[in-house]
Amino acid sequence: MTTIRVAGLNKSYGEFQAVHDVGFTARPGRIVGLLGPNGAGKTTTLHMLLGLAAADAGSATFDDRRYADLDSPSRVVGALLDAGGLHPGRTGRDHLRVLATAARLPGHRVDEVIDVVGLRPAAHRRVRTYSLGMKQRLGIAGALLGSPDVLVLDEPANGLDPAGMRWLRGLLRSFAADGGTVLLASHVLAEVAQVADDLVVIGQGRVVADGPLDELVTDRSLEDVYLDLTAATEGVR
Amino acid sequence: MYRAELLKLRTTRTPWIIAAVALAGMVLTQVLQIVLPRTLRALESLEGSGVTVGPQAPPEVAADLGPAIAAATDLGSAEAQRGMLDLLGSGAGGAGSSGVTALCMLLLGVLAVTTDFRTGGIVPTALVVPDRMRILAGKAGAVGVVALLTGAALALVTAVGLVVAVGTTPGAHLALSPGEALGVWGRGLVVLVLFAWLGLAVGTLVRSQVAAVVVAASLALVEPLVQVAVLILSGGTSSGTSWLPLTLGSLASTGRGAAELFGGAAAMGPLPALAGLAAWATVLLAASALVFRRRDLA
Repeated sequence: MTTIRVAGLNKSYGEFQAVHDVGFTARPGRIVGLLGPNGAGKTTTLHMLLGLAAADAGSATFDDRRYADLDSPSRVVGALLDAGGLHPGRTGRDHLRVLATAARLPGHRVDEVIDVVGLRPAAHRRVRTYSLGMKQRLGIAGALLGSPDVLVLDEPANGLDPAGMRWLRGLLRSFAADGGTVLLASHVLAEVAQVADDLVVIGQGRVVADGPLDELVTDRSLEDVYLDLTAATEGVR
Repeated sequence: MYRAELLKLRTTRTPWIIAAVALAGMVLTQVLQIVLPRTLRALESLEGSGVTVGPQAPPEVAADLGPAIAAATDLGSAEAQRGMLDLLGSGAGGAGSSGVTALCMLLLGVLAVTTDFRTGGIVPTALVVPDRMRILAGKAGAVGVVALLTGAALALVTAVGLVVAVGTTPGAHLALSPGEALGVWGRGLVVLVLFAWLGLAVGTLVRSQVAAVVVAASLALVEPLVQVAVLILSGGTSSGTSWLPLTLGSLASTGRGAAELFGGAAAMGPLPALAGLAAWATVLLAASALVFRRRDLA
């Protein structure tokens, strides 16, 4: 079981400070919702956590190891970012075969995760024929390939129909119930409210709230609490 | 990583199209090289009936160019046969044309990396393999293998072309030893791989697919123009442009460059040219690796 620890993360692009002193912890068996307005710094934080962008300062680790230092990252962390980075001319199954080959995973995992996300009938179709929801399922399949301990998902509910949303909820709950750690960045507050155990709210690159969902949201809706927390930081910077 | 990158290339259409275009270009080059001498002879037989054919340059220039052009179009000569085996498809005598093959290999390398940037595929790749050097090495290995396989198919086409040319040209016989033929093919294969790596380096450095394709195409189109301009201005004495990558490729493949057609001497032999091209590829790949390792991917 793996714990995510983010501490004192900073990232600037020229004069623009995208992330300022961001820190939080995501523990095994918990689903952590990462919330914030557009441009708040959520995705930049995830990119630094996953080694895609270099932090100016601070640390982001999985059990005290940077992502880049993990021996076999796919077996520890499964991630869905930027709608999965899918080539429109490649079939869904081939996309997963490429990832499995790069990660040195056994070939049967490809068919297993295709079944988990319910893409069997479309597995041999080119991605350009997929709906947005199907692309999300394929991206989630890629995240699950290595049977990881941790899931890091950026807007996984985008494009999912109601049945897909329910499926995703079940998947995340089951993953956490088995001791997995989930970090879930989302704009869909209703979805986060239904699955998250803890919340981290980011506004203008800073953490403005961090704690268990039921402590942050007591007698009001998550939407009301979220809008209050981010009122001063709302809008694209 | 190399196997995953090769699978990436195999499971999309672009590399197949590039290989098909290279093959089509080679078939066209072979047909032209076989048909051109016969066409010239047929037209020459019409001379005296008011039709003018052949070089129309002043006599002293024609005297300079004539032997080289004649050798390049005499399918019984070793010169022409070497040109037919040239995997770059540079045309008669390797006269300095960029060739379809060179452009195809540059584009193969460019597209192998910029497609990942364009589609965002570089993100899942880097999540699975965080070591950027391993990613780039995997891509280099994969495009190298595709270049070699394409080159092998091109070699087959050139072999068929040569057999047809010799078999259908009266009095012609095979003027190249097997060793010479294998040498041209072997060096040609290495040149194709190096061109693909140059494209990979350009794509990694430029990142934008459209911009990288424009850079690669410009390189292929502009270099011959620069080369010819310098040769004309220097009266065929300057060998400076021989150190440009496409010219090095042509010299490495057949040992011939535009300088010889203009009456000059080749600036270097095939092996130094190959070493020069390898130096270009090494320097550019090293620069691209440095940039790729430091750059944020998202």
